[in-house]
Amino acid sequence: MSTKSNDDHVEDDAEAVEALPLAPDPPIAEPGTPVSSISVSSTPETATPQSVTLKPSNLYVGPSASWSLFAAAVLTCCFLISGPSLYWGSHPLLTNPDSAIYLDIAMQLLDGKVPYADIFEWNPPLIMYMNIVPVLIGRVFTLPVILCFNLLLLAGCLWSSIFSLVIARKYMSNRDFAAFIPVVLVTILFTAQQSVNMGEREHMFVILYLPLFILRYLRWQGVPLKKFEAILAGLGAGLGLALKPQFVFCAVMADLVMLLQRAAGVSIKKCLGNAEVVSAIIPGLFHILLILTLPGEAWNVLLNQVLPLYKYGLPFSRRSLMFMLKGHPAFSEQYVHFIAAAVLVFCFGRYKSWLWALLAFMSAAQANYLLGDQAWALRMIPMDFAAYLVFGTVIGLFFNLFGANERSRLAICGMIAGVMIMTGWGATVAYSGYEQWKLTTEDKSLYDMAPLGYKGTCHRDELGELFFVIVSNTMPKDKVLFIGTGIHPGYPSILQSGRLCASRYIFSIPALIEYCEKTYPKVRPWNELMQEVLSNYEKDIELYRPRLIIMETEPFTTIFHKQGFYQRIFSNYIHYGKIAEGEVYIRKANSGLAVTDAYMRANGVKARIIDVVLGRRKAAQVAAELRMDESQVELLAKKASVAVDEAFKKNLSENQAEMQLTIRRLDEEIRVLKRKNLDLTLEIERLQKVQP
Amino acid sequence: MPKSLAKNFLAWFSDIGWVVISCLVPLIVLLVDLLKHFSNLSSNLAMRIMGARLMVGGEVLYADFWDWTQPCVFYGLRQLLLINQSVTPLVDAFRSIGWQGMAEFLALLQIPEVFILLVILFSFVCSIVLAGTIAFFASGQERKIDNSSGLYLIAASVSALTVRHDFGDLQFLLLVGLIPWIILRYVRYTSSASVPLWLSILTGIIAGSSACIEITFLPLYLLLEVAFLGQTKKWRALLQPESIGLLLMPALYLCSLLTASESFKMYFWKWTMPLRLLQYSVDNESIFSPISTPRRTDVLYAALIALSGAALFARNNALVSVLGALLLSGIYLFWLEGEGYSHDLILAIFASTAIGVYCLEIVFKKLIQKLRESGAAFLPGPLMSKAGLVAATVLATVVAFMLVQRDRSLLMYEDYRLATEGKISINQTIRENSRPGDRVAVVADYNEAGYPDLLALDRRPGLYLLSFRALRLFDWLKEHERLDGDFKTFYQYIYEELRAGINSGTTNLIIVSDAWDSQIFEKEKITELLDRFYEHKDGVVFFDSYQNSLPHEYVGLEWGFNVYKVK
Repeated sequence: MSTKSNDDHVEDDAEAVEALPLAPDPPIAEPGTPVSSISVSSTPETATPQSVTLKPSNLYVGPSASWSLFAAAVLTCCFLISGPSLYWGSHPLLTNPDSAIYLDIAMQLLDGKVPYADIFEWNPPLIMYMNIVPVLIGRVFTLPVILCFNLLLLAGCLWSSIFSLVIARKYMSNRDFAAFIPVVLVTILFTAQQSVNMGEREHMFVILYLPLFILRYLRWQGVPLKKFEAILAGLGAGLGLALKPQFVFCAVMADLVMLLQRAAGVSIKKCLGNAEVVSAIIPGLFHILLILTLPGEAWNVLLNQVLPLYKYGLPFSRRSLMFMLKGHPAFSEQYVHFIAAAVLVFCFGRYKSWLWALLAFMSAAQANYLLGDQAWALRMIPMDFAAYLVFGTVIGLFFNLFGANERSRLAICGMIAGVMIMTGWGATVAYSGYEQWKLTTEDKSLYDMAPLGYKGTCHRDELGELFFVIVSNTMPKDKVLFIGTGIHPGYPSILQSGRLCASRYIFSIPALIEYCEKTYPKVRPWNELMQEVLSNYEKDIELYRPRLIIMETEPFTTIFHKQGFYQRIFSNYIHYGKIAEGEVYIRKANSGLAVTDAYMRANGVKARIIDVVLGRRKAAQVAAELRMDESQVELLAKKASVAVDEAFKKNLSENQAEMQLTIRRLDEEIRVLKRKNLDLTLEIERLQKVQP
Repeated sequence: MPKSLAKNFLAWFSDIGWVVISCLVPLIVLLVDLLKHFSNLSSNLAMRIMGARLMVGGEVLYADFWDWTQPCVFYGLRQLLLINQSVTPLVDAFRSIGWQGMAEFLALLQIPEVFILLVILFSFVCSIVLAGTIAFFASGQERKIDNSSGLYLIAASVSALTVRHDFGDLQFLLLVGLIPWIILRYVRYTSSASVPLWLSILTGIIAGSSACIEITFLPLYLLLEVAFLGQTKKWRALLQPESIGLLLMPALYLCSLLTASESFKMYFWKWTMPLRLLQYSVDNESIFSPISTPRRTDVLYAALIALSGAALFARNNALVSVLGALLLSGIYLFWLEGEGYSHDLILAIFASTAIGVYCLEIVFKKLIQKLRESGAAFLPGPLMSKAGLVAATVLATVVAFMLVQRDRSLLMYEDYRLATEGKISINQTIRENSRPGDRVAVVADYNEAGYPDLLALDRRPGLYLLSFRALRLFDWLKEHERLDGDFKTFYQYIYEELRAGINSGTTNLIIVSDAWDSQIFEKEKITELLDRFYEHKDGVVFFDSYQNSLPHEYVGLEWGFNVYKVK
């Protein structure tokens, strides 16, 4: 059955009375108000008697949008998503620290570990289980899990957009559907623009929430929706909503606005008890059940470590308010989007009522960001996404400007122009993706992923120094421990290298405990917690015997020395070197392929590496002889080459200095001789004058 | 007759009294507070008054002292100070005829800051009266004001008290023009009521004048028009007499700037304005730690609640939409300045309050409607509702006043804490090391370190710069290798002036922030000069601020200050 939203009716009827080109939404109907008494006026405060009478919303019958327009929209969506797909496809190891740890946790869960008991983490466990999907796909197809995760996310974005279009096509008129297309396209653009925040939970939430937002809007307008669509949208959004409890606040605020501007005759009870609401709650309930059924050991960690540290340790990484809004271009950009979008709502809110719902959503998301009290740009994602939806809606409104009945030609022109603009937009994104892909294929600084067990290459630039240290000094499936105040650079490097984390602490918390001890000394015996955590570290190191330990120099050196922990854990390790991220320690009883000095001497590695530098032998050949990864050999050859260059330069500069000294000495001698010459000439002249 | 008197009072109260009383309560509290704590004034206003005092004393803006405040603000304050000088003969006259009470009151007015604070308050009250007058005409009924306008005026009055510590700052002065302007434009866009020509021209001129005091204010007025247009699409409302007034004043001001002397034009157009614009785009690296900027999340939460309230209850209301646009503009200005000061949030506070009041009224009305439908036995009538509103305003006034007092008490506590720790404050240093009339400079990235103490203690600005923010910007330009062209000339000029000021030894006391400015002085070799001509006092002194909150806010690092006394 095809029906039309309240907006459609207002506009169609308004056309009959030569309404304004931008026909407004109907005024808010008081519950129980007879539908026939609702009127539309040119100015909201001064309703005029000749206003248009509306029909009851549940009787909306009208043509759905055309299939051709729908097909054009879907094709544009596919085209738009191709750009980021190419980009992420050519960056199979590129991800952010947060996504990396959840992928790593998912792998650990598949190995039988239990959240919190075996893996320390702040957040609820749903995201950990959701990440099992890309991990399984990666294992089945022997692909990097990061690549699977990113592509899955893009697929989710495409699904969300097309599903929203499906719903909109069914229940919107041609003209409204055309105006709705930009809303969907900007959501793809939003995902296309994500770089460091790609795949964060906030990003997943907004992708999954879009169909529900459209559906709820139609529901409150009295449109009878199909149960299957409602359940599908509800379940998808429910998954997103269950990721973080604060997301529910955003959705509730948007729904509340829709409730208050519902069409006349729409029952609140029915709308709140609908299939999509029930199905949106189900993932949340499942999540709660998941938490409740965690084993006692996990609950022990949750209650005695995670929650107290989260509560008291949050200000540890707090920043100033202005830094949260303007301290980084990522914050500035998103905050300005919010302000601009909110201004647009106040300017154009009367022409599309969901703009107000988006304003409430944005405000709630901004409140979440401020309440979170951390300068993390990812937390602004829901706000930014809603701002994008506002921009898309306003673009759509301008298309509608040409869409009044009598000017159907103009309407068509508007639609075509819109699709063209969006296609152009898509082409730009796709082109940038293609450029990136081309660059990738031609760029010489590529990393061959063969040592990681994958086919293909990736950019060296996206792999940090720590990645190369890990790859050069460990074998696949070796264990590595990173001890740092943040997640980065331990993650994503450990995940990228395909190595495993050697502790339940995938990120380190002693610095946080020390902060809590200093700031809230009386709240609880923090030192006991510190001892427990250090003891856990000790047990993990003993059990997993990590090949490498990378530790941030400060504050950990001080903390560990103070606690007498340093000697306990590093007695089996030798200090291997220092990188930007901290100190690198390598296990003493190293029987593997870690490139220690002893190993190099024993295997004549130096001579072979020099051969590679001089071009006498190939890296692959030497790697095979030494049973090393080719990348290791390349790295060593590069280092050797740099060392030779530096030595040469040094030698050259020493020679130069010596030569300069000689030149100066000679200059000085010339100057003295010239002076003598001048003196002698003057003496001769004087003598000639005296004795002519 | 008492009965008829009561009846008349009730009629008056119902028509207009509820607005008058509700507006008067916070404004009277504000007046009393201003008179009682006149030295507690906005640091920027204090700095500008000091600049105007220099002008009264014959010094010339830009030639003898510099700040990037618009010249019209300095000239306006100079005129007020000149008027203030004429109070002295009046005091003598009243004393001579034995009117001691009046003479004492006028003696209070002789204090420049008191006089200027009262003039600003008077302007604000006039602005509210003007807005009320417009609302009378719009309502079509004499001596009656509609609910929307009344609530708007009450919100404005309460906001004035809420921003007490920043009273008289630029955004506050903007409100003087905005309050009647918004009401008038609301009338134009949403009704056909006629407003007398003189009233609309006067409103336009006041709005236009307020738009001149900062470069970002005129675009703000234009944005409000866009919001009105978006809501009503009444293009004809654009062409009204007040629009001419709004555009005329900035045009005249622009003409005066373009026809000024060549040297003034160079100072203003080539040096001052580019630097002012640079402030918007340069990031301050020191705003990192949690309290390196004031933490006014309360205002931002209130703004978000107001935005949500507008979305929930006041959709498609033209006045709320414009207030929403104003609120967002206020937040944008706050963001643009990038320093987190409360004085950049005055517009946001006013707009949030106004939207909040509207939303509450709508909710209240809906509640009454529901109660009426459910056949409730007792329903408050219009008179009772208005009385309730007055009571709510009184309550809001009490709360706002208590918050103002709390801020002051916390600062006093901080002073006490510093004293018990044996630390010396800047205020104490100035008092102990200089005398009234001496030249004193407090070199810091934030004006609050020196003002209003210098004004309250009757010292004179010690160096060429009234505020020293420019030094950080020059340092940034140097660091980023962008110090060239006019910026370079201005940079050289400023440092020459600073060196000359220090060489001359006319500045008795120089207090330099150790956080940033000491490093800049070191780089620019000013420290060498200071060491040659000044005695570097042992130890450091401190800026007293309780957790970077009002009335002593700061930006960046709150380290100690080095003290240099002339040898």
